[in-house]
Amino acid sequence: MPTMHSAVAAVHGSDVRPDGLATIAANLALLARWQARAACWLVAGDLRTGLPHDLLEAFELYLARCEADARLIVLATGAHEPPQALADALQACAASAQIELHAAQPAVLKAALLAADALILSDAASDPAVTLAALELGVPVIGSAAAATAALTGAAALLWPGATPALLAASMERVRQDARLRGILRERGFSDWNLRRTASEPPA
Amino acid sequence: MKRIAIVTQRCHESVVGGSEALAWQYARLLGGRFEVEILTTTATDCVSWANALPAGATQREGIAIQRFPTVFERGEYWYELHRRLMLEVQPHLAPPPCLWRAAQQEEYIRFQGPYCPALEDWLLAHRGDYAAVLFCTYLYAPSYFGIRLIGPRRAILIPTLHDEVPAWLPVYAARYAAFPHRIWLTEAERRTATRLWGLDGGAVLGMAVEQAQASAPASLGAPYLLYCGRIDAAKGCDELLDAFARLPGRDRAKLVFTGSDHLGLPKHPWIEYHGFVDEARKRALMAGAAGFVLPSRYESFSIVALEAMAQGTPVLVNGHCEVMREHIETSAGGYCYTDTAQMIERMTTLLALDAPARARMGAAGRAYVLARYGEDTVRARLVDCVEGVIAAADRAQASAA
Amino acid sequence: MTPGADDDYLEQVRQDIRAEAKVLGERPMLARAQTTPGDADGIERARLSYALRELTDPQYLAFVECAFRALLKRRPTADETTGQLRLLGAGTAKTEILGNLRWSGEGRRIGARVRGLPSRYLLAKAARIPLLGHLLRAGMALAGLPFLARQQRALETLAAAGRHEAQESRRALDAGIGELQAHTTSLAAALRQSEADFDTRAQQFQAHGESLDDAVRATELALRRRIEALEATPLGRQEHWISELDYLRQRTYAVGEWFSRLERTLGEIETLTSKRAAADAPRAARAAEAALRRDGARATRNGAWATLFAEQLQPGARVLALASGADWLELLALRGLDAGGADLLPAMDTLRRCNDGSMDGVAVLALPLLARTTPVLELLAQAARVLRPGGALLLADAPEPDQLIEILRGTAGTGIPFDLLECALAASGFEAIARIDSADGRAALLAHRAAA
Repeated sequence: MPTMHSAVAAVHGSDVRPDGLATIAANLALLARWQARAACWLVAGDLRTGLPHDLLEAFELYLARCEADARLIVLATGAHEPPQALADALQACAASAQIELHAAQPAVLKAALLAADALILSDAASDPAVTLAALELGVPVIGSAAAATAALTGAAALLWPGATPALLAASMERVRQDARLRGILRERGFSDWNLRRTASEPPA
Repeated sequence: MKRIAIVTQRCHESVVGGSEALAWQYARLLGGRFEVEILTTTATDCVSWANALPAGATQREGIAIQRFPTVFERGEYWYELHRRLMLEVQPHLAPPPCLWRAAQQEEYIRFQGPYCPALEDWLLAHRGDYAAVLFCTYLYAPSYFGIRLIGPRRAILIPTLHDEVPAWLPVYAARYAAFPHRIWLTEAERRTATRLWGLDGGAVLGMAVEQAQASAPASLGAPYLLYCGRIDAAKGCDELLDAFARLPGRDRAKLVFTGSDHLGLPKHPWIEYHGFVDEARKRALMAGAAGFVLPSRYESFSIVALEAMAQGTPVLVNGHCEVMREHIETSAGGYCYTDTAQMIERMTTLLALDAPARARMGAAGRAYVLARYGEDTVRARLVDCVEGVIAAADRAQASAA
Repeated sequence: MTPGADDDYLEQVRQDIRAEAKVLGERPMLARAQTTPGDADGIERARLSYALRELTDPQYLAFVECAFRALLKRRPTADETTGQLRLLGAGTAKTEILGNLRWSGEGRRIGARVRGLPSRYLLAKAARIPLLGHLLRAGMALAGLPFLARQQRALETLAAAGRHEAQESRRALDAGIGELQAHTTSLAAALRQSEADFDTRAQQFQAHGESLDDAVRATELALRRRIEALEATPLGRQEHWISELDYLRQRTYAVGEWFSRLERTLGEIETLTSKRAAADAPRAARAAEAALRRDGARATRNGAWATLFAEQLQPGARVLALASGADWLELLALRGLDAGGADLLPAMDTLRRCNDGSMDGVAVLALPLLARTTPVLELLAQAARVLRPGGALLLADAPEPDQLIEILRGTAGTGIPFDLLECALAASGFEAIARIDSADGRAALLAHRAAA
């Protein structure tokens, strides 16, 4: 059997089975909490220096102008505990009651991906493995078009060169409202992920 | 010969299941015209999907079968998702509200199983080798995840759709909307798809039904009504027993069962249980019966009732089942009932039918089955359908090149 | 949908989003979503009474904040927040977290009252004790059932009380509930004797499990049928029904879940028992072998019984030998009998599979071995069926190898007084009943099946 999703496996180490995040069970308690009518934003990355300001601003703009009860899930990758500086920063911000912070353990990451309306990428907050997992599982990806993220997602993500908070918030609103857009992003994401997977395999 | 594949969740002699039987029959019917390969899993149990058979290539009656292992068995995780789905989706409201994001709906399908990444790898690596790929049963992961690896031009979906809660998940409708080639078993199934998914294109083909008549009808010393198949409350057998028990003059008649008894049939002089019988005996019992009764509400096709009709036997079916009602109303080969009182009344009528009347009704039923579900008829339509799909795909490919 | 059309659509979407982003800031501000209630520092120090929902409704950070303010009358420290969030993340129930705070030293001093918390906290804690937890969850599922029955009765009235099927299913349901309760009570009693011998307990579980299985299935079936019947009822009151149906549905799944847990528990017990049995088996076999070697009288005794038994029959007569060592078959063969034993099947199954009147003789050397699993009367009835009229039956209470093993493992059946056995033989259609006492004091009974 060829090994799939090696990027995810490499980042999360032995917790993830070789056949990827797809076969891992989500944390059901978290899934139940996150799976609600209100919008659910997901950000993941090595956030030791805190959440990028543009992302926080975009979320606060969305709360103020689009949906007051939206939620933001922040997953810190690369550590078993979320960094304390990040926790403090999130508690101090105005929208703290609607932000949740977790370490990106596989079951938590899976729950977040299943519940999220979209994974938001920014130059300072992204993780290639999480991005690939989102493409595989059919979670729309939106964000800023830094070179690295664009190469990773191809045409499968809604990316903006020089994304502003307003563009991110408006993108999320559109993704929430537009089933056709979601369908296109999901199917393209999957084909991209599939191409990447087959390209990295030895020929059968 | 062109190579085609049929993807289905299980395939083995020991497997009893409607859609598996259908996939196997289609493989047989297409076998003379195409090089058919069945792509399936190593599972034989449709609840756990445990790997029971060796993976790899094998042959059954001259048809190639490739089996791929499932990577997990159905577990507590899926049951919990299922429980939540049942609580959260209310099929009474159409369309039912669903808070689940698409990724979560797909998670449900993946963990419902059988989940076979190796089957997907195979489709991906070999999709260019097949002139067409048929996917049997909309519900399971091999069809849902497999069909997206085959372009919409060469994929043919055989949904065997029922109105069940998972069918309402919007991802099914969205996925299958992109695949225009479909084969339905009945018009009723196609109408269900229109109601549930908003889709209606595709061909209504049905399934071939055995038409050889019994050499001699069985005689059990008294007129009898017959039921064949899984004896289970889910199939309405408890209602059948209840109705027969209240039948006036039931002591002069018999209620005969064949098949596996999951209900625990009571002991009464008027009940005869014959256990498992071979095909010849089944046909003889059907041919000798005053009527064949099918009390189930949920049937997607019911091959057994059509077999009884092919024996020239009037059938009595549950009118709540749209598919069966359609068979009866179109053929005039029997009766429907909608409640117990009517069921008793119809059973009384069947048991009292004189020979000419029974023969007239039986002949109508048999003519219906022969015209629609004779093996040659179904084979011709199936081959036409598959060849049509392949020709169109080839043309599109040539014009793109 | 072709890729080209998709590209066009995406481009259109991007333009729309750009345009929307420009005017987003001009939309009216939305009211903030409800966050933590409170005054200046957010802490109502004088308030000591809360409804559980007030504390469980807030989510995540707000929940922790609110719990500390209400129960400890202060804000949580950063470490405390992280700790509680970790618990939440691991799926801990909110009631359990609230309980932990309320009954901490600090919480006791403050003594806030939260209606509904104590019982739920106790349940949440108890559910963490492995076996008891299973039972408790089962109990909770059960507790819902009588309520369900009441609910159904009310529904029945609404349903114009006509339908035969509905009444049938209700009866089945009530019966199922009664049975379930009885079984749970005895299950709980069995559990209380947790110091008692494990094997006995496992057997009890097994038996309860089987009948419980039936009861749960019956209940589930009745529920399903009820739901179907309700769905089919042509009353123009759909809105009302939907909520009722949901409730029923929920109970059905609760029963299902409970059943699967029970099944798992029983499975674990079974595994444990069989592991234990597997570990004991070789020792028991060795000991039984040694005991046989010491039994000097066995050869004489069995030889005498074989001779006497053979005298009752013609040479070449067909004999079925049960519950004996292999050497007993040889003794019978030496005396000209066509003797066969139970090869692979359990002895009783072998006996049950023999055709009517197909045997000239049946010999059971270690009767308690069979009586362990089968009532003696049934054994005699089967023997009478299998024997031809006039055929001979030999019953003995001899220490044959398998019987010794069962004795050592504590699973042997009890011996049957021979006087009683003689009467049972007579009552089962045997005649010419004779008692044969061998030199070492062991006894056997010889009898013939009465002619038809």
